[in-house]
Amino acid sequence: MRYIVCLIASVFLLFLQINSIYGQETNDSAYHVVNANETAYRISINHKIPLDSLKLWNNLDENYTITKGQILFILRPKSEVFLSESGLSFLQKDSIKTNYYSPVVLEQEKHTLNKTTTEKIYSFYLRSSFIFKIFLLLNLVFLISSILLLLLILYVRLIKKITKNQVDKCQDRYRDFISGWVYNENSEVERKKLFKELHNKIKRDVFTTELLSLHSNLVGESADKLVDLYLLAGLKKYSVKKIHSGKWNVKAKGFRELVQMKIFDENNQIAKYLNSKNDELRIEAQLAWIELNPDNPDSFLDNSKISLTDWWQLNALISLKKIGNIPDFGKWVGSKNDSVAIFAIKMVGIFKQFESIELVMKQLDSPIAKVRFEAISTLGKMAQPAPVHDLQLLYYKESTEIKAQILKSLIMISDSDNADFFRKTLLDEIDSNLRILSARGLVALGSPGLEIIEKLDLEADEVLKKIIAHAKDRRI
Amino acid sequence: MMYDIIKILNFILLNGIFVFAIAIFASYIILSVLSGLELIKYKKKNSFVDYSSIISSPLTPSVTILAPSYNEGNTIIENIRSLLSLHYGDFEVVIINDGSKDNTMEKVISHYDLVKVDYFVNYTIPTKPVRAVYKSNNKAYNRLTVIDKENGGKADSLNAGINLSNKNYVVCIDVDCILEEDALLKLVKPFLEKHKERVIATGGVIRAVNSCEVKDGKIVKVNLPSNLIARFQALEYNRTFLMGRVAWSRLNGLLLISGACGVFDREIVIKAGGYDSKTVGEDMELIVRMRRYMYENNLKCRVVYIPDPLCWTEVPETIKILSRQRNRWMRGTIETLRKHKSLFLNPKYGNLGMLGIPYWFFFEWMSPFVEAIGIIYVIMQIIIGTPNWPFFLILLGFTYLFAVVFSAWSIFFEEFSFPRYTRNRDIIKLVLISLIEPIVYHPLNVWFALKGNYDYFTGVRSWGKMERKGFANKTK
Repeated sequence: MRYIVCLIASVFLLFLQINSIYGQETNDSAYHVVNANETAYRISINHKIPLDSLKLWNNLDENYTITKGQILFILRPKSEVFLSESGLSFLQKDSIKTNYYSPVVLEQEKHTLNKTTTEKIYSFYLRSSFIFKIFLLLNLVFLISSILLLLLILYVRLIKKITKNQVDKCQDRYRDFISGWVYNENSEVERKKLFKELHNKIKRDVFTTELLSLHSNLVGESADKLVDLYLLAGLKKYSVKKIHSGKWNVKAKGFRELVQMKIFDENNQIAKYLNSKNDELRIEAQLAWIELNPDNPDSFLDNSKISLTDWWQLNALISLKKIGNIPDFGKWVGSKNDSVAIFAIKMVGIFKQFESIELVMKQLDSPIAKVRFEAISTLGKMAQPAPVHDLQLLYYKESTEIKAQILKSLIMISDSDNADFFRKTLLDEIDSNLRILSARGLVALGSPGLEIIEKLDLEADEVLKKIIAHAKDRRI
Repeated sequence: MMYDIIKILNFILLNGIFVFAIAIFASYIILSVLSGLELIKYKKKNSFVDYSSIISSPLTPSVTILAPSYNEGNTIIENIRSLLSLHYGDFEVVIINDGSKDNTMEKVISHYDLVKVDYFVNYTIPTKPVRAVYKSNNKAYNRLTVIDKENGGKADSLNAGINLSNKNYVVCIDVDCILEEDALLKLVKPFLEKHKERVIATGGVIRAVNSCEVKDGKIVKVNLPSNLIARFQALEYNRTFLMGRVAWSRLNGLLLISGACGVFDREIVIKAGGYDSKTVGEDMELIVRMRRYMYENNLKCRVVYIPDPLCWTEVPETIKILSRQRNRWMRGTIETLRKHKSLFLNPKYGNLGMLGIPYWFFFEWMSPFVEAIGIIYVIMQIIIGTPNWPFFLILLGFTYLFAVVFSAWSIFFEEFSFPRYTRNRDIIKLVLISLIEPIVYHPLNVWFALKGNYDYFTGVRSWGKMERKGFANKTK
């Protein structure tokens, strides 16, 4: 887009071509023998030339008198020939028609030789070609639209400024009121007055935002009080309205409000969107579902055919942490939907569900590399010695990437059984990243590992020495 | 015979240019409509996302920020501080000193209390030798790593950083850029959102920082650049990013993430072979090669552009430096297009081959030529022939007004999406500048592009210096 106006040139060229065509009127002369009953008008129309020219070239009198058998010179512009030959006849058709004086225009012209400028322009316009008219029209459109755009920009800014002023004015007051509410400091009159203001949409939005943001920082009784305020102010009605809105982003906002205020009445409505085709809406609905169904938050994981994105998982974890009632993810570790399985394995690791270790270990045999990767990583986070043997066995079958993860997990498990394994990988591997990790593993084992490393260092080649030095440097 | 040849040539030129003009008009209109749709979608999506809750999640991917530095001694301390203060969960900052000839290294070592560590440097992607790797003794600068290497150019430095990183995502930026605090979150989000196709790179809108008030590596007040050249670029960037890149991202035909700020999937970067240190357009070349790698291995991929202003960079304020930059961009474009010419109109490469590459070929590489020919033609016509003035003026007006409307439209997009200029005065100035841009700034750009072509084909391959004023002494 750097050359946005590059079209200047191209259109220049286009115009110049056309221009050069019309501009050159060569002496490609032709003549016409006048037949009986022919008038000068008819001849000029037939040959598409101005009546004036006909008169000029043939010395006709004021009344354009012609006689039968008279020879009239007709000069044809060469451009016509060119245009019809070059295949651009579409330009020709319309332009030729109007490029020359039509009898009507000529009549007008004759009557008003001493016209005003406006009229002159108008007659010029009538005479001009079709393309010219089109471009003239486009010019006007662009001119008007650029002015309109400028006005629109200024209008948008003005509206934004007014809204912002309005928001600024009431924001502090509302914040005070809401925090006052928590400590029962507001009078009845104050409350009634404020509730009346909430009929205004902008003010209501400000109030709701303030309420929700304060609520998210509070727990227990004070938070409950804010829920009471929310209900008392009649805001629930508007949240419900939002989830029935046609716009998905408004719906999503409604979900979030209901979730925060723990309003369960609309669960059926939300459930409709659990498998929605709109990615954003589905994610929001599922997140809302997690928080609004504390007994069985992830029930839809059973039948969800749609894959869970990393973004979904990230948000779901936040929601899960909020409800505090963590389901047993072992159920889904073996799910056939691999994204569900991956999510479940991650959650087992994050919530340290040690009873599910066996299930996660089973996933080390999964045919899907991503699932194995996640299982290996989770087993490392759990730091239990049980999977050490399996991981070591798996190591030799895997790609470099997964090998690296196995080494990382083994480092975290830090089991003395690993010493020989690390020693072997340090010496056998070619990939320097794997070798560094192996050396790190030895260092992490403490004295038994360090002993091995010191021994190796004595007879090491230059590369190995550097790797060992790297692994021992704790600042890296 | 001669006449026939001229006629045929004329015919080709005339028709070719006509098609060219129509195509360019149409493509601009289509792209701006697509951009508009994308902006609306992004805005809706962002209307309820709570980024703050994501930072602390254990599922947020860790990233490495790579900032190559060459002779930036004046600003380096400030720039590092700015990078270290970004809002993100787990990230490391790697500064690569590309054999600076000034005191960059000494300054950083003394200010950040750095010491050499025993780093085993892995040349996964071949680079110039690394002299040493530094870490800080101060725990507060735990996230900082500094690579001191021999001079090899920006691409080579970034490769060294990619070798050192062991995170999944690398953020490649110019060290003097100022990132918005939540830029990383927004840039990483697209990677997490897709499941079926892999996101391999993301970028965000870049804005001109000239004349803005900067304090402690953060923007305190946004101002329109007071320098005229920089102001032109402010408008140009606005248009390029909001009207162009965003639409290309939607079409999945984007082939450039500016070197100033982009996030990449490290695994794919390495598999594609890293940055090409032989080209001056390494940012564009890498994206094309990464996409090529994905297409050739039958993997679905996406490059995402975020219409949010995330990165602020100093733009050239003198014609001399601007000319160097544009010259280099042109040469980079030519190099990339020539290197990957097999993609041109190749359906195997999807929208990249069918739309992206041809678009760049015609409207970035070829358009300056077309434009130059046009200007020469105009001048010739004025000298020899008698141009059709009304037609000339109407077409000139048409192209001019189209450019103005297009700029106004982009200002409107900015206003609608993420307005940063708070004063009405700045908007008016921006509109005024859009009125003179097609006459003053644009021809300059055409000239630089032609010069770039000349330099490329006569064998000039150098980068050309960008002199930095530095933010420290610029804050008023």
